[in-house]
Amino acid sequence: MMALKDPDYLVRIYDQMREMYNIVESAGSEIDDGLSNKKRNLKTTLTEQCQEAQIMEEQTVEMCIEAMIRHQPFARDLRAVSAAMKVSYDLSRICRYLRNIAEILEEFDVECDDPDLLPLYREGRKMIHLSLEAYFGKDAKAAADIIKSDEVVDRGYEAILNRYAMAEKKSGSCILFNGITARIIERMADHASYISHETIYLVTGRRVDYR
Amino acid sequence: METKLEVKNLNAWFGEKQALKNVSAGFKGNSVTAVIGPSGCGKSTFIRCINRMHEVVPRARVTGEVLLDGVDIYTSMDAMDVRRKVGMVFQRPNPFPNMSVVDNVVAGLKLAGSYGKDELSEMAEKNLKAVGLWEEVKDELRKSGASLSGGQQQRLCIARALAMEPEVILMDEPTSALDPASTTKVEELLQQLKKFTTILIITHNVSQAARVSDMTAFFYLGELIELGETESMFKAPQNPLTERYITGRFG
Amino acid sequence: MRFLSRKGTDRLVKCLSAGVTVAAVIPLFWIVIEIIINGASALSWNFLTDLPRPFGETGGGIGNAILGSFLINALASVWGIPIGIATGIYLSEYGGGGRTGSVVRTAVESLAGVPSIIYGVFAFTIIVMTVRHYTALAAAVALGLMMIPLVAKATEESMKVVSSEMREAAMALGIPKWARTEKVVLSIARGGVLSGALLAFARISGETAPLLFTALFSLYWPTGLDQPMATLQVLIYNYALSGFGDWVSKAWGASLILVAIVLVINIVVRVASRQKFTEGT
Repeated sequence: MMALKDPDYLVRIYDQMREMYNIVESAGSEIDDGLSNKKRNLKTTLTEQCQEAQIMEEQTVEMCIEAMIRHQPFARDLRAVSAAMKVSYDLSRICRYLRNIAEILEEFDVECDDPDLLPLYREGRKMIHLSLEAYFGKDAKAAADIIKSDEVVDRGYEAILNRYAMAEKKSGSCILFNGITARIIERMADHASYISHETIYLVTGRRVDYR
Repeated sequence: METKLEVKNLNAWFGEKQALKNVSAGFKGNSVTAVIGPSGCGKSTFIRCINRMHEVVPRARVTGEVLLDGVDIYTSMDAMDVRRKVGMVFQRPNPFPNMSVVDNVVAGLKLAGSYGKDELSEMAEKNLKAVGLWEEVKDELRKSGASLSGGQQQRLCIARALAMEPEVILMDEPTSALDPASTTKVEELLQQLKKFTTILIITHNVSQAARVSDMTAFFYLGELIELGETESMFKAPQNPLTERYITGRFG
Repeated sequence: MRFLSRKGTDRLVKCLSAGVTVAAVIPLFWIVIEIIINGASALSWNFLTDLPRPFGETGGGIGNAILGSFLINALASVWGIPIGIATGIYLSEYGGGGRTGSVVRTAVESLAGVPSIIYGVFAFTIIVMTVRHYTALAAAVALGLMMIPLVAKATEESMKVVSSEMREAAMALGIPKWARTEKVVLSIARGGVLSGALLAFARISGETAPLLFTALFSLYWPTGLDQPMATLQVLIYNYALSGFGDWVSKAWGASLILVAIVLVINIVVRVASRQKFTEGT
């Protein structure tokens, strides 16, 4: 495929989305810090960041609609605009999940985080990072690989769940803390998969699987 | 829907210059196909080969086959018959100024055959209604065809073509000289007309092609690059050239 | 240093142009006024309907000349106009561009420039010498020939001006060429063609030289096309030089009628053409 330059209105939309991604990245680092060092007071910071992400998502959708009315894009430009609307939603959702983890860290004042929890989180975060690199880089092949690696996070999540389903000696809040956090991570990583689906549609025009 | 019009290995020249290169395509009946492409790509030449108007240009030459309902229009039909079965609407409205509105509508019938006065009146009314002009002109039927507004004139020309009950109607940028309101009326009309006939419409306006057509044919430098369903072509064209054209990268 | 200021030059040129124009137009009015003054007195019902009296007698009229002019002009038109239109149609729609077309066009243009007396001599040699007497038919032939280039040119020009979009539209409807040419192009151009025909008619109404060789003159009602016939032009020629007061006065009267006919035709054509433009097609 010939590399075509994006029109100005798309460049502006992508710039906006990169800023959103920066916010998600910094929120993600906060949570990494929180999980490693058991920080319990991250809720306020994360709430602020997610609100900003939410506003930016609404702005991005506005920009996309205006682009469609004004420029009446076709083919790759049309796909790029519709993908941008979906991916900006995914980004704001990811931020929401990060905030949920911060809430859980604050509410569950426990000392029993599973040793596999942090690695699972980092794995999920890496997936998200890679999926957005593939999206901004319009790399359909890399996006396909990410969709395949969704399994890894799913299995990690199941492993943690099983461990706590079997255990009887652990406390209820322990089970809840690890279970719910793992669940959130798994859902977060799903969005990386959704973003990758959009990347493939954007580049090739084909929709693979279903959301 | 059967194949109404088929083109096989069509080549066309103006003297030494080749305007169409080995074009092959099929068009289904009761459909609207948009013909798009940058200036000089051969769109006009292409449709003029379908109603045998290309050959009247000095030093023009055509090879290949054009089949209307399976019959070759070059070898098995007389040129005049072809033009009665394949109508044309031009870029600038061209009603005959020396004839009234009614006479314009039935001009093709009157000048080529013998019909009674009442028959012609009925046909004029029927076709004016078909293009949505009847209500607007029914009190001014005797006025010159050229006294109507631009948009009305073009619809009159469509009625005139329609009156011949053609199998195919060719349109060469029919709305490019009209204001937006008239353009909308003509575009809506196409959806009605395709019930009676098959339409090929040349347009420079990619959005118009997206709005009015079922299929789209993209031409470039005399070749048919891509022919496909409008909906999928405008979301994800197969050919990179097509993509570049419809996203406005050139043309 | 300029002789005059810029504004002064402008005004000077304006005055000169106006002056020259007036000088060009004055003769026309002068002639018309002279003719009216001198000819009006000769007009009467008898003048228009009676036969001329022999030389020296007063009274009588120019009825035969009026009828003769009408007959000869009508006959000339009957064959001159259709051939002229056909030639114009050929030049515009059929062979105009090719080699034959160029030849025809050159011939037509040359014919337009041939002095009218030559037409007279031509008709004289071919017809009058053959039948051994002057005939009105020869006059009609000569005058008809004169009309052809004028009508052909007007027809060709009027048809050429018809937009090619009209021909294309007609062709796209499957209308054959002859029907396109007649019912569409010629019909649209009919104003110009008609003007051409009328102006050609006005032109031959004034030609005298060909008539001297063909129809000559007569003091009697027209008896047949194979005989000489009186016409207004030749009557004016004969009467004006006669020296006989009554006849000279009649010559003025005939001149008045002739000028009136020509002026009316010209004005009608003018007005009709202007109307077409204001109606706006």
